[in-house]
Amino acid sequence: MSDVADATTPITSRHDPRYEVVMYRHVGIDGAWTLDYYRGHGGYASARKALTTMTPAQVIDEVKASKLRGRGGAGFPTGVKWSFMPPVDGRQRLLVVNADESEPGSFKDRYIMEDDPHQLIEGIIIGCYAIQATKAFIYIRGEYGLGYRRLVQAVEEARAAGILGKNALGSDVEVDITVHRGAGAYICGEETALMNSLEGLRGNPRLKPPFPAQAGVYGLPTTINNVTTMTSVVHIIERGADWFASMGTEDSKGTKLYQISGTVVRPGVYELPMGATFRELIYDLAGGPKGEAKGFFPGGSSTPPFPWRDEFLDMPMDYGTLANSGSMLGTGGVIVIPKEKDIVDAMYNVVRFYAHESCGKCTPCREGISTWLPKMYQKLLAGLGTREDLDLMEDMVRNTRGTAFCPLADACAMPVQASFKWFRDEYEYLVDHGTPMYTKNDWWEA
Amino acid sequence: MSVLDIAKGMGVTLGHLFKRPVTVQYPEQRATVQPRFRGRHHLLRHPDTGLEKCIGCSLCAAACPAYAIYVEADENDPENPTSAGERYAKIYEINMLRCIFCGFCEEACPTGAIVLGHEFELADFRYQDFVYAKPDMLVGTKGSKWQRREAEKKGKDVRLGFEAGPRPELEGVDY
Amino acid sequence: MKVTINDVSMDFAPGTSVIDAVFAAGYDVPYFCSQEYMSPIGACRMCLARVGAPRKDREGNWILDEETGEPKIFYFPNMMATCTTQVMEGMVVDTLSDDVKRVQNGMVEFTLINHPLDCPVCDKGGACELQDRAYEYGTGESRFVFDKRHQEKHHPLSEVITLDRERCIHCKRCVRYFEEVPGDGVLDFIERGGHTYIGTLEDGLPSNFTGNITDICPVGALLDTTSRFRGRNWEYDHTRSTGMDDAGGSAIVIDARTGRIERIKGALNPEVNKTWIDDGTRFGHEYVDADDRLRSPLVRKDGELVPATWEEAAQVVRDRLGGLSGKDIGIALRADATLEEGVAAKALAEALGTGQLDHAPRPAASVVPQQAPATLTDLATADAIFVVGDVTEEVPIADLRIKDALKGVTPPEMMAHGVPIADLRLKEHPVFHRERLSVAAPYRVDLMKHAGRTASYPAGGEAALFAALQAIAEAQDAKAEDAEAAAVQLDDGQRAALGMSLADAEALVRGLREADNAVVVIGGFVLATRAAAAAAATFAKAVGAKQLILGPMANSYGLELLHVGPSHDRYAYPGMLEGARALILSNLDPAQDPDVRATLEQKDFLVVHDLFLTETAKIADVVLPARSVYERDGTTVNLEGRFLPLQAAPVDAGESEDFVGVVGALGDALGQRLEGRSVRSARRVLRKRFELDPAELGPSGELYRPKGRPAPRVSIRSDEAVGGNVLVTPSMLRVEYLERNPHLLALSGGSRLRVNPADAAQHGLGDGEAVSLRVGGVVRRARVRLDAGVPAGLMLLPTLPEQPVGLAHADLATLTRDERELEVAG
Repeated sequence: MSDVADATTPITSRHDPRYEVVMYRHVGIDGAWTLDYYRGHGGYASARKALTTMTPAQVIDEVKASKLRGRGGAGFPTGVKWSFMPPVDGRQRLLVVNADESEPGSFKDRYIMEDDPHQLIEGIIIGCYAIQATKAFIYIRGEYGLGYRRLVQAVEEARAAGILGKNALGSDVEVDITVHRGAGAYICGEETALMNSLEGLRGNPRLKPPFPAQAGVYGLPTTINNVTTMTSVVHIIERGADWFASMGTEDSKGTKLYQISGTVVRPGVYELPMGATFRELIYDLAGGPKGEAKGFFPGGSSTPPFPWRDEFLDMPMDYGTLANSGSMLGTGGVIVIPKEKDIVDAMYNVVRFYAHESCGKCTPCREGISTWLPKMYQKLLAGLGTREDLDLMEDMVRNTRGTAFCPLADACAMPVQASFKWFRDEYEYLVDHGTPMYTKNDWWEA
Repeated sequence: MSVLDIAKGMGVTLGHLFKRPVTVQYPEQRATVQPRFRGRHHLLRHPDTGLEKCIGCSLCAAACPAYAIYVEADENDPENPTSAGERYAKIYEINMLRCIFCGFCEEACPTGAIVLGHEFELADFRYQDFVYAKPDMLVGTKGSKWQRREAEKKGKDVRLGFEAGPRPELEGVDY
Repeated sequence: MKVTINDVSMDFAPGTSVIDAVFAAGYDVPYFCSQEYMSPIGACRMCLARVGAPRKDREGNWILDEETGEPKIFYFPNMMATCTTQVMEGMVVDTLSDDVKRVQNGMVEFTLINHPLDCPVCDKGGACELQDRAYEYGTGESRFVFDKRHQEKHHPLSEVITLDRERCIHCKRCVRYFEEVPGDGVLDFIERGGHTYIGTLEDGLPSNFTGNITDICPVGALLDTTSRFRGRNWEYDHTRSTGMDDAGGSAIVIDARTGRIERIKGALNPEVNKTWIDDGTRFGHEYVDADDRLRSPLVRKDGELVPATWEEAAQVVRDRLGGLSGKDIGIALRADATLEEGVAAKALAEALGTGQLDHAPRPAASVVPQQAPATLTDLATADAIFVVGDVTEEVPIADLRIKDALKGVTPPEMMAHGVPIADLRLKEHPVFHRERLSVAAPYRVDLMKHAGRTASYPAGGEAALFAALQAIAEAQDAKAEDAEAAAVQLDDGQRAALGMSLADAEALVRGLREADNAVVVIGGFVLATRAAAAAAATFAKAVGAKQLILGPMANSYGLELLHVGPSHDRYAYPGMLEGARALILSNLDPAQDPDVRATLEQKDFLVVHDLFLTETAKIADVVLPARSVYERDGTTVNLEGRFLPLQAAPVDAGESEDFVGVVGALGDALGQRLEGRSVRSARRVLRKRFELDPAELGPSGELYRPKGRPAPRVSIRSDEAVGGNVLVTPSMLRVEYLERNPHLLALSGGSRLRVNPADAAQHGLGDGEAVSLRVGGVVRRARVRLDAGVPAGLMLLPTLPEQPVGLAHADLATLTRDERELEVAG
């Protein structure tokens, strides 16, 4: 494997001898998506182990012991979530894998589904066994064409090989998978909107309670997990909870796939133990920023950005530390903001995304995030803003915080608020001078 | 009352003998009307398009303390609209006998369609002639119903018994 | 559960929503998306409040506040939408703090940024929830300086509903309404984010209950086209009354202005219609203001009908009747007459000494069951329902209450502030438990799409259907007693009569029998023959189900209860048209049948009391102007035996009088003080007769449950051997007035002759063709509608008061294309 990967291959921490690559070990290898390859490299041993030597309760206990937290962004303990499933009562139970990876700055699931779909299928078999579901859905983002094709192909292969079906892996456990392709809506990554979309309804978030475990898809008990949560489970079962829990920090265990994009030398996905610092990711693995940087999003565009300061760069990337610092780990997608990119323009880009993706169900998001906020940014960028406009924006964004139906409004409001907190000088420069502090707009071509 | 007081009083009277009289020989002479005098209502039009300003919202009728106004609205013909927008007043009537000329209708009007002008010579003979409809109040109509009847009979223009300066809110009204 | 709202502590049942707790405590939070009878979804975010609750530690003890020693209140990090939050033990709700106020302000501001400020031209202005909330909770000014969203201002969703997309605030009430209440998902949001708008993919709104969305729309986005720009809300006289288009007895509000009815809205009666009404009731009022309405009595002088005063007309009636013996006079009322009119008619009949008194249409079988009928609440809480007939067309509100039963949520308990605003048991995208409903009809009826089991039995085969079901029930009984007993055996005829598979029928019978609360809904097709009605009653008793009998008209139940009927079956209507020498007909038009017309022309004396110069009125000697159902004070009894009040709306109807007024005038002319000379005197009779005071009825009315069984009534002479090639079907729209209801006419396309496509090809009929046809003698004009749901060899035609529901013979030789209509269409 060469040190310099080509543009289509996600660079992983495979290049750094300090870290063992677990979930991404097959990623970037030609043909790794076939069943033969996966089996040839020890595939499905973990699932076989779970199905033949463990009871469902033991699997859940093992996952609980590993302290695995959901990799979708919220970080809810996976084992606990699984134990929320009601006792078996004859109803169909469902596992839904959330592969609607639409957060800007987040692209870890994509390469698993494209290059290593069988790893996900194996995780699903274990998950289904643990929660005693016989049916799983993979809700894949509509734009992931290759991933969808590879997944469908892999599911067919697995079914033909008896890995899926009435007697999965030759046991008496039934597991089947349906791959459902989304239609390109960010909000469908929210689990209740995903359930609506899966049922063929409009992709609007639904009311909780009832929680999915009680009444999820089609009113049936449902567990929804992220792709990398499921693939983590494969390795937890294979190597034991102790191995997983030995890595990471106090509240965040195991390895995680961190993504880095923006102006860095080697953007990509890196698999590191929880608690590695941003500096390690940005400088040691991604080769540091190209040119000067002024800030970064720690976990995807919905997390409040940090300014480029040592106190933030040296912060360990785990759930607790980031939550305490006023941001979130999210999906672990770091986006580096170059110095020459005006923050107002950058935030307008973020706001435009959320404005476009708002589902329109609730008032603060539809009118505040989707209508008013982009217009305010347009006004600022047209050089027509005033200082009062900045106060108005802050006040208006505050009204969208914590008032909306689902987290989408917060996902937009929080980064905007943080940009005001850390980069207010650039906003003020813009309204005072009528032109942005930085006008360079071709930084991505550099 | 002393003689001195009477003399004082007579002095005032005498003094006025040599001043110009305040009295106006109405109707031969025209009276002057104060700028904020509230007389007969005018229904205005948009000066540029000629469309009626009234949208038939009935807020004047709601504000009217004397229940003197009756409005019935209808939908504009998009090809040949009466007013701007979807709605116009099909019937707009003010009973001048009931009206107390308080001007609340003017205040309530969201489009500035109804304005109380200066015309005050509204006397007439029959009850039903006091109910002013749209043609009696739209811009371009000069004089009360009786004045217009008389003018038509005599073949002359309506002669208003007052003089008044222009008022910005009475655009298009010519006294 | 003890909940503290600001400074008020109250107890609430578990499952109560916080918004109801707030209202019950006497405080207020604004809301747009919640609606009493629909699922709370928390979309408008107006009802946000700061909510906190104590927590328990791992041992199950309350975590205490260190300073006070009381359980510590943990506030939720975000403001909670009170409509979607349940009360918890010890919960604390704050709706008054500055933080809450700020957020409420913010939400009003957000809601208004895309809402046009065209309140002066908006028909909702003055009755608009957004106006009120903006006034109460808004700051009064907007900081939004940009252009508002521009969308279609007057999009006709259907002939009767106009949508203004700019005014929509996306509360989703209309979308949820169609999904949850009638179960026809015909509306949805299109696009997303700030571009979201309401729309439909089909042409129009294919549902029978579309008008309700104009009532529940919190803003002026969805408006009743019939009243568009007709008046402002504060100008209307609101009269609460009862809908008289069907036997449901829905509460309505009649909005009239300057003597005209401008619109009808649904009103709240939790026991009957909740707040919903059907489109026939809502939009079918325009005939009242038709130009050709009779406004003064007419008396025939020298062969011409000329206007006269009531006194003159009454004198003529007295003089002409004076020469006749009492028993030669027939009196007939239409069955939507009030009880008071019934009393008046009885008093008149008594004064004249005639037994020829009846109301029409009156089915062959009684509409008052021997046991107390099921109530609509029984229907809404039933766990097994068997419908025979077309309930949607007969009593539309019963259709909606059946859907309540299918949702399986019992009616909410009333709270201090009325119906709970957010009933958390209701869910968005509800599951309809179709298996609870079985529908049988001779053709495909609308309700079948919600039924778990459907049966299409041969028309006229209702008696056989119930007999076959009875046989199954008896066989099941035998089987229950003796496991060895033979399985259900039916002959071929019985199997054909079922219209469904034997297994389905057995499951149906078993389902009804095992249900805790089973209801058999008996429609007009069953009532058309006494044998079928008797078989239905026997079957209902056998399976332990309550009966709900769908009477043909609004007060069929009440008039039968009052015995507004003949003394002998040959005196019944329409038989009296032959026998009597003089007739007094109220709102009936039998002369649509040319043969009857010829008979009537031979009568000594004919008095017609009607709204319009009908075919019968044209040949009458005296025509008296009648009041419409919206202009009468009185009492009606709906199909569950509930006495409901009618109040007269202030409509300018000239000198029209209801039948009470007719009897008053005739009594004056006769020099008698008749019992029904006024509503008050009629009510004195009713008070004695029913032991309840019609003047004191509450808005929900009063269920009348007499002790003992109802006295048997005099039946009408009916030819039990029913047959025919046309099935007269019940109709939600009143066909007799359809021509004078322009909006409803445009919506429905007129009276319909539904024909199977194969039959149509045979008769050379095309879809949409205007035809006329003599059905049972009556000349009917209708538009052909091809419908595969109609069995071959049968045509369906909506009922008229003079043409009761059931099979009828049509002479197909008289089927002609209506050239006149075609010319108009061309």
